[in-house]
Amino acid sequence: MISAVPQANVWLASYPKSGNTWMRIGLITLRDGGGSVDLGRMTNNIGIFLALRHRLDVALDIDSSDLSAEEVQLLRPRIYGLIDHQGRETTIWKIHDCWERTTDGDAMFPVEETAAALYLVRDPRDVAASFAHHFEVTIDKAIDLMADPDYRVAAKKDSCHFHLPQRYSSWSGHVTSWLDQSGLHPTLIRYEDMVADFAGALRRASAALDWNSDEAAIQATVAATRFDRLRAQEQAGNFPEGLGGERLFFRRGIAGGWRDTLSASQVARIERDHGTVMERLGYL
Amino acid sequence: MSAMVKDLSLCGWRVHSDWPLPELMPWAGDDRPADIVIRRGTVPGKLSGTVRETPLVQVSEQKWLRYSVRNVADYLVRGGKEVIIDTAHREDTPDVALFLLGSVLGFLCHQRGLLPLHASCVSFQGQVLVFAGPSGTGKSTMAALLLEKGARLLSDDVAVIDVHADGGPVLLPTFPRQKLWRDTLDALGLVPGRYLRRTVDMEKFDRPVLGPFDGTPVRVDRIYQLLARGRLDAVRLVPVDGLRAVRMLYENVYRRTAGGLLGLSDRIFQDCVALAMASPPQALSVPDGIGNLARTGVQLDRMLMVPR
Repeated sequence: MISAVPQANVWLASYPKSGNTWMRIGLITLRDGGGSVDLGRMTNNIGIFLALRHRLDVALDIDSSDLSAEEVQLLRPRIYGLIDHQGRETTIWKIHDCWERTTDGDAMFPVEETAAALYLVRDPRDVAASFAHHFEVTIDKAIDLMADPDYRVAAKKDSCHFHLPQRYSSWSGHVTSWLDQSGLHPTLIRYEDMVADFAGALRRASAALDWNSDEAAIQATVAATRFDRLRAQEQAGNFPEGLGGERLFFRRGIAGGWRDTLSASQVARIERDHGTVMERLGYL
Repeated sequence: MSAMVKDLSLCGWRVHSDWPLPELMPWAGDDRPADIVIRRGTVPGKLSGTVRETPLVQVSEQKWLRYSVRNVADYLVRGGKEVIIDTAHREDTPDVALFLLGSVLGFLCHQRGLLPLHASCVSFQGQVLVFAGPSGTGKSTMAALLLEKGARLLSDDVAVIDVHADGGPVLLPTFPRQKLWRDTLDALGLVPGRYLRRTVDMEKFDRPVLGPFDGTPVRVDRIYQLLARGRLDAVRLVPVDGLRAVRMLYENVYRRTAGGLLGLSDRIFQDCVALAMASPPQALSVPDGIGNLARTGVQLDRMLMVPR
């Protein structure tokens, strides 16, 4: 189903909690013709997480855990010709990093390694509520982190995570890095449009990937990936990437939930921090 | 070479090193010539006759391997017998030995026909247990926890296997040192040794393991693939066999991309088949993080000792 393309890498990029996993499930299902979804047995060859430490270590013959975050960052753009694609013509990589250059000036996600880029974006007021739930922080703390241009994860100096250090930047910084600075001209898909018309979002993603998806497969995918069905599978224990305990990954799946979750002052802070980009994306 | 330098022991090899390696035990064997010589020298930026290279590794037609760690050192590894270190740093810079006893040890193993696994290994209740997995899955932490319960360390991070030893695969113990992060040391109340990196800011330490260290080759009893699942209820042990077992071992072969550059992919695969048949691995799911891992305690000990 995946057509031959000159380059092998597709970036499925977003700030966290912006529909990346949902789109990934949609694309897996669409690729397989729209059949039923089994979250416990996702073949995991769509939306593979790029920033796995092991991937870089194997490609470059180095223990990245013996390197500082700065040293790792310099090496990250150098793995592309060496990644084990396990026979895939195209690999769709799930990415939460902001787009940036290393201190050597190399692009983290270079044009010449890019077959296509999809960028998912979500109203930051909804991101804040979802982010707080996912990472178990207060909404105020989530708002702080979303405003931090130097926000990084897996970057502690006293412990090792199996993910590589990643810089998210601020929410606004993330958006503009991918849309304006990357030179990759990503296909922009809003979470709100996925909620309102998932078929339309899948058509756009499919076109960007140069897939020949027929309408029957699109419609079957929409039916198979309905939010309530995904959540039912998670509640039945069939989602390996779940959060554990009582917290659900598939929490609400709605657009505009911030209206009954955030206080007026929290809303005002987000709109002050990110107003310019929110306006540009139609959120204000 | 300085006549004053005492020879050292690594994987049963007699090692003569001009570069100080306090991590290694002194050589206590016979008066054979050194199996491996390590010295400071000049390493060319580009090997002549280079046939294959990746960003950090070059391999020449003679199978010489050049390895470069930026701002630390360049290493030339020849014939599984000789290492030349080209560095601007003083000999008390631990960074140089860190990559020497990591990646370069892996390259030496490939050149010498041995199978290096990304794994830590202990002897615990009479069994030799190998914990394999990518960085960040808890190999060293698992070993550190078992050391607290009386286990003896055989190797940390790189486990060297001689698949073709008489009587079946054996582990060649490396040296009595662990590499541990500050969070693990603090959680276990351990005193850190020296910083592993001096040229950058990282809270990762050498932890010398006291007590006798026996470098005699030992039969491998169990191989566990560590899977960090992040949840406290995640402890699970699943036997693996057949092609999945081979693949699981293959994915833990240390420095296997360089092994491929050395033209050894087929041999590495065959060694994994032999090891999988002699000592099939088990997938061990554990919770993520030192605190969670420590809390699994008795449950985990029992599981490790269940007959396969």
